[in-house]
Amino acid sequence: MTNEQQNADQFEAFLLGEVSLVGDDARFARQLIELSQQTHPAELFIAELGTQLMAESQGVSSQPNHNHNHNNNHNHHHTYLRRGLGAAAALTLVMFGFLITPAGRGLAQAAWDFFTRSESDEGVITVFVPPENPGSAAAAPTPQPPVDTLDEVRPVVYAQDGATIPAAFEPTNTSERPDYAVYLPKAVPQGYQVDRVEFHMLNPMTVVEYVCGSNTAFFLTQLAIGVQAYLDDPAYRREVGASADVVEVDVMGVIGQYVRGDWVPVEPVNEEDIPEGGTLDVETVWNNDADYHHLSWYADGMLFRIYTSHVSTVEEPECELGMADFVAFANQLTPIE
Amino acid sequence: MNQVFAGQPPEHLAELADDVLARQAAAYREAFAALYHRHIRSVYRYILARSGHVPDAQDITAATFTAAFKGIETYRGGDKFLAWLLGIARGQIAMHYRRKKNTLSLDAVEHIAHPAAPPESIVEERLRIEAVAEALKTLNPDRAEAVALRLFAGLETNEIALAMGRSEGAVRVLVHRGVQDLRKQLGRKSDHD
Repeated sequence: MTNEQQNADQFEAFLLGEVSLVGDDARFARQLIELSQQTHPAELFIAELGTQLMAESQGVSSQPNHNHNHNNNHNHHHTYLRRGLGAAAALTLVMFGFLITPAGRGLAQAAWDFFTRSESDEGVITVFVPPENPGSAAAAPTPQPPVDTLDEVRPVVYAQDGATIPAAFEPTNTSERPDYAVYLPKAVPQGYQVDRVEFHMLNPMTVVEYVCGSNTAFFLTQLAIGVQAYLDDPAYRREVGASADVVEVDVMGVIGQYVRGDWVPVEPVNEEDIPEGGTLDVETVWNNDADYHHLSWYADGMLFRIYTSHVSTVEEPECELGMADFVAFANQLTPIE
Repeated sequence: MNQVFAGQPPEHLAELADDVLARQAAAYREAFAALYHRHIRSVYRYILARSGHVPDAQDITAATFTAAFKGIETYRGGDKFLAWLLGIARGQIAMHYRRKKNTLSLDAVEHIAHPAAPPESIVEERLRIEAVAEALKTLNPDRAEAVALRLFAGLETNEIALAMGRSEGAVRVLVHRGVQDLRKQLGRKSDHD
């Protein structure tokens, strides 16, 4: 070991309080540490930023790779994540304001809008490029090959304390949340397989990803939420363009809504211009032909959503699904007893 | 619910580990609030040490937590959450000054070109964060980053090694050398004077 390394190790031991050092370097280091300890953000700043983040969180809901800030401004604002972050990122939904209360089908039929229509077809997307996460490759779960049925899937299950439960999927074994029943399909669309399941016990929510080919997927999510909580929080409603065609459909005995279309950047996004952890605002326009589908409905105290990945099926036409396919899929969902 | 971020997070959340909170934060905003209150001071100290300017540090801190909130689902665990936050902060700092450089006045450019005051004028002065930040800008970038992460953000050596892609031994050398360089840059008394 070199003298320089020895000195550096000794200096680190000093910083850790394991040894004492004298001299100007040590004295200066103490001054730096003292300065650091005296450097605080103002409490008012902490509170104001906290309030600002809270306000933004109320205006955000999420689709895979596409988070939306909901407001009624002409120039609405969206966020989506760089493609290719993987299924885990795509699966996680940002949802807020969970208040579990009983809910009835009749009320859902009468009052529910699942989309917010923007005042125009123009908007802004904020592209976010997450920083590299060193070591994440080692920590990431081993990918599983797609399978035909849920019985063969080993899901990610989050317990109430947030810990991951390494257990096979047991849809009836939600003993921590007896108010929550998992709905599963009797069959999946031809060409599709189950790729991943997440179950969150804290705010009961199931997310199932179905994949087809190499690049096509859709997601089924099922969130337990009370009627009032849903109505009070616009974050649960996806913002669509002024020209979007919102179609009412019959699903599980209630009225759901279906929209095809997406916010598309006016100019191609050059992600190389964005540093890791940075963001870039991009102008977008609503496109009714974009290959993004979203079906929502509320039944049995659950908000159900089916939505596709933001990847066109042009290159995989055998994977293409439309409104009728998604409605048919939704209508054969059955609670697991 | 509306006071979650402004106030303190629920006690039971404050006791949970970062990884647990981060997994829940995508679906449960109180969990993100707990992470926010736990780490804002370290993040702010790091950013202020790199910027030396309180209003800039506040703007960048806000941008960092906003970006972290939007991208929380990309956090995979396995690393310290604070190191992940500081990775975002680094990107936000770079972007902030990239956007700002076109609007800097000539005086400001001059100030950046000659960040440290003449050593004799600050010897024996009380150490100021602004001066430290300006001096850090003149150091070898790796040494400056290691010092900021170790002494201001409070990361451990192994965490800095992971964040910077260096060995722990190399990080210890960077911190030691960085402190020495910083002291000289600030005109502080030398061990060998």
